Amino acid sequence: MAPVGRDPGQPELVRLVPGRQLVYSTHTCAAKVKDMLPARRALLEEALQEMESLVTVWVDGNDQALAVPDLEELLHLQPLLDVRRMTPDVEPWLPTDRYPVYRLGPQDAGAAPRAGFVGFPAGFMLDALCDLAVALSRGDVPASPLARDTLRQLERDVDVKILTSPG
Amino acid sequence: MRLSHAWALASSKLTVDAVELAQFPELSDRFHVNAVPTVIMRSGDRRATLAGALPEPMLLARLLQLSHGDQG
Repeated sequence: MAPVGRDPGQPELVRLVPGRQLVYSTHTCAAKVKDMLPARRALLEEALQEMESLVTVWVDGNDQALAVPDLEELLHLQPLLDVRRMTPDVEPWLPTDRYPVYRLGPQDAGAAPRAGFVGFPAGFMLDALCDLAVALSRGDVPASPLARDTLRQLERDVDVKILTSPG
Repeated sequence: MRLSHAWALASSKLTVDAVELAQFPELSDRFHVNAVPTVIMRSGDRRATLAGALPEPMLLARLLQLSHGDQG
């Protein structure tokens, strides 16, 4: 497989470099990935079969960040998910040199990915990504009526960062 | 978190990133985080920080205020 390239104007399919050393092998993420194989993956694949259209997950981060095992798990879900690398408008303070940012959003032309995760264990992150991807593909985004009404009234763009933990 | 991500998929004016705080202790210092989750909303040069788990109506109201230019 070819190394990942970076071209903001022309996103490329993500490919891991064979033999790349994992950056943080002691991270909880590694254990989660180990637990996830292969039954976990089968569950995710089953969930993704419910998708009505292909959804793209955009991955951003430098080469070191892209060596994390959770990205490898995400790649195993291709072609059910379309995994691509791009350089979105990531905030400067978002530490994409250690962990990739995973974002998905509508596939309409010109739409930027809008829902993202950074630094979470693979199992949690993939669960959440797959849930959102299925909902998005079916046009069934789980926003409440109150939320939809409020969001229609937004005048300016808003960027939200949720600093949290998966527990 | 899933609530906010759903908002982001429902509105082209919203981007939502969830960050695993335990992996980025420097962000705790930078944003003076003393509760999880802490939500930071930004629109232009306006910013709001909301600490702790808050009900959806309260979060949406703050979002709307910020988008309309009210620091609150």
